[in-house]
Amino acid sequence: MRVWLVSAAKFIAEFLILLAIFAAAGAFASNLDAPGPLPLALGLEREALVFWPLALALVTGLGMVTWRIAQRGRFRVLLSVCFLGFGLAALGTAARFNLLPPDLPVPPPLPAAGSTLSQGEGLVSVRALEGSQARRVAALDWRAPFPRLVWAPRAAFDPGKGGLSLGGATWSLVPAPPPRLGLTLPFLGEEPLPLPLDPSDSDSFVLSLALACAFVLLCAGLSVPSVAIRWPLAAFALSLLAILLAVLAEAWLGTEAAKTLLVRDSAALGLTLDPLWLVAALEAAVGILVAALGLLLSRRSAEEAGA
Amino acid sequence: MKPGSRVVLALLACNVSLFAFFFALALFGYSATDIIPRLALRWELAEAGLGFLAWYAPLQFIAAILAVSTLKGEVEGIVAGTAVPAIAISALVAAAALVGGPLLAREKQACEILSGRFTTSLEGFRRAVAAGDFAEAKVLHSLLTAIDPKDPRLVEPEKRLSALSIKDSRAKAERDVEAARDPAGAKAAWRRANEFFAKGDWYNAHWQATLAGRLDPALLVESTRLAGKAWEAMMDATGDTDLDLAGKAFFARKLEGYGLLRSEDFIGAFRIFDELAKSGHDKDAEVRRYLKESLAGVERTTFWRDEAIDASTEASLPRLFLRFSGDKPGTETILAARECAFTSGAAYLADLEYLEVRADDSARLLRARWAKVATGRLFLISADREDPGSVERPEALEIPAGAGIDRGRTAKAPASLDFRLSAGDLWNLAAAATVPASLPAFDALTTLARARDYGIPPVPLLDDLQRRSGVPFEAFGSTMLGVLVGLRFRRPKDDRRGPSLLALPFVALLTLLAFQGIARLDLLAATWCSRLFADTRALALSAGLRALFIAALIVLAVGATRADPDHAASPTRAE
Repeated sequence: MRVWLVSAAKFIAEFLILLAIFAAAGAFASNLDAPGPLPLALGLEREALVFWPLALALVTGLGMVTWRIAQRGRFRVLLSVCFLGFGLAALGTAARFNLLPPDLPVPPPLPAAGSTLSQGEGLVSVRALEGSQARRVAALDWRAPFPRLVWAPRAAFDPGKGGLSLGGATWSLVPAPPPRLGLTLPFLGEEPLPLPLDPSDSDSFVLSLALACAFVLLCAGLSVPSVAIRWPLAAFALSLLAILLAVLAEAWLGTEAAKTLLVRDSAALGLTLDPLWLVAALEAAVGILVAALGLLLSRRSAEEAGA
Repeated sequence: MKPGSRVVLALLACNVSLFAFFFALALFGYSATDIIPRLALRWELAEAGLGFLAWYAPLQFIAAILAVSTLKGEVEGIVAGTAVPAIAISALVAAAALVGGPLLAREKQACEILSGRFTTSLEGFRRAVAAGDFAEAKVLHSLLTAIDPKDPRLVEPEKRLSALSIKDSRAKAERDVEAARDPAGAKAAWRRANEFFAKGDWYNAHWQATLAGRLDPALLVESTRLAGKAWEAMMDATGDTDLDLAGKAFFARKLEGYGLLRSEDFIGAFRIFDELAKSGHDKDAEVRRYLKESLAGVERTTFWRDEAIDASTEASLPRLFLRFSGDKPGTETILAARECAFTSGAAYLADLEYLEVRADDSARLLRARWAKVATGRLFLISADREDPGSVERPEALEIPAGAGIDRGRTAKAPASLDFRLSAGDLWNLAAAATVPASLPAFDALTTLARARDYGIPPVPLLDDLQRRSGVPFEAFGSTMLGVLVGLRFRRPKDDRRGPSLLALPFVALLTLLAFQGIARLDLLAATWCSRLFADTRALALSAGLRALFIAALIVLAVGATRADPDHAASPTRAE
């Protein structure tokens, strides 16, 4: 019992640490345009409520391996992981329904005065902005033949668009947006990470809770076969892959195309259910089925190792 | 094998093979059209080094995990045996990354800039030779030979350059005669010659008469006669009446040089005394003295262009733009140069535009093809050492208050002016704007504090400093976390089978994926800190966040090690 309690405490602590890391990353990414302690604090709260399913997926999936190291009995480990996973899913769903703050308005970037702004192969530098006038403006295009410096003590400035007219050319004083640093999957391009359990999917708490629990089952179930591997490091890596698979599957099942397909196929079987209930049922069924197969496989592997 | 030896061997093997991999990649990726053959090895080593520094941490992480996860024995024994060597190797790699990183970045940049310049100059050289533009071809040829004199692509155009040189000498002689024609100046010189002759000042009478004849051929007969009379009077006065024709010519030339020296035309004087010294009169005491004086004068006001060309083949940076306040309130200076080249004590600026704005918004704009910064001054006149007559002078425009450059009036340009920045300052500021990774850490930190004062956006430099300040965390974190993760996911004690080789690439790939995710997160936090403060406070904040992050990862990595039933039940001696 003591080992179980210690493992459960570690499970919850790991969930919280992962959640804090993801929330911090999300808050940093969403506050790059207007950084500040207050936007960061609000961002942390918001991102924690967005990222908890990902932290839950990791902790339940990897929990199969880490608990297995600490405790014997694969089925008991699966039950423990699912039990704690359901609890965290219920808490997360309830928090998301009651605490999700609105999106923070992002202020437009301010025109840069007193500094030099690169624009492609050129640059523009302004000492000060006074209403519709820019003071002491210098600009140059490096591709132009020498001499290339353009200078004027005053130049017309459009505060609305941030445009500056100088020497017959128009320069933009609005700094280029910072490079997008979203949370993306390494090596898989710049597409943002598909987050599981999109809060906009359902307005019903019960349905959301069912989806969250089904997702826990899917993650835990897909990770069970990895326990069959005797080398824990390889098992850990395999369970990471299983989690990735579960997250991608959940993201795909959330698309309209997948829902339409599910509704059509279930109608053919005579079932007329909300597509989200179908998604939950499918995820839970796949999770349980793979878990059962995994348990059989790991039992056989253990017997072979014993022999 | 002892746990420590195994970890050391794994880390060393990982680092050496990683460098070898990137070197092979650089060899494969090398293209003679991008990098000239003379610089190939330098570029490949720099490229391999930078590739190694970008990827060593995830690889060390994987190596440490694999090495430790296959160890058997007590946890305490493994930790005690692996911690010290892992920390030592991490310290070595972190130090190498911090010291070697800027050098490698600088080396790679230099190779790319030089190769790019060689390619564009070679095209320009071929065009200039084809168009018969000897002056342009000569400048480009000196640049090309300074970069790589042995490049086979130079052979063919060089042959055509020699032919062009002969043709140009003839044309130049004709042009010189035409350019020297100045009847008004000749009349004035003729009047002064007569006045000096009447006063008995034979030296100056001879000099002015010769000048008058050169400026207007119509006065040639009379001026030659007067110069001859002055010459004879001079000979009588000095007692040297038995000079032969060569001696007379030498004396006349020396006299001409002396006149130029006294009128502060140091380049003209140097040109004559240099020519005399090279034609066998280098032992003449007066030639030596005046050559030294004229050279000192040249160096006070002028610089040699070949210095700039030589410097640009060693260390140069493109596109410098500075904007800084002047000493008096309301005044400021804007400096733009297409390229800066550096030697230990000087900086050379190509295509310089230097605008001094006064408090009332009037300004003076100076333009120079070449300029030199040394000893607290900005020199604007340059000359060709081989052809001192070929002088590049600056042009100046006086811009009235409230007007733009197009309304500027031509003004007298100074030969040099006071300049507050040293060559080292210029290097730091130029590198901060273009290649911040090439600045040593201390220079980068001091430049960060003053970048804004010189109109340089601090963000690229700060981003680079953030990356560098992450190096110790990266080096130690990757190794220590690797050891801890390896410990947590060790093979069971009773497992007699070795680790599956099939699982290895898979484990490595997923670990790499996880590491890249962590690196991405670190980048996000560092960028957020830089956007919040944009100065050194951002470095302190991100260091704090990194420490927290590593602590969180350590807690995650340590996990259930203690409760491990397969290992803790009957501990055995570490292998």
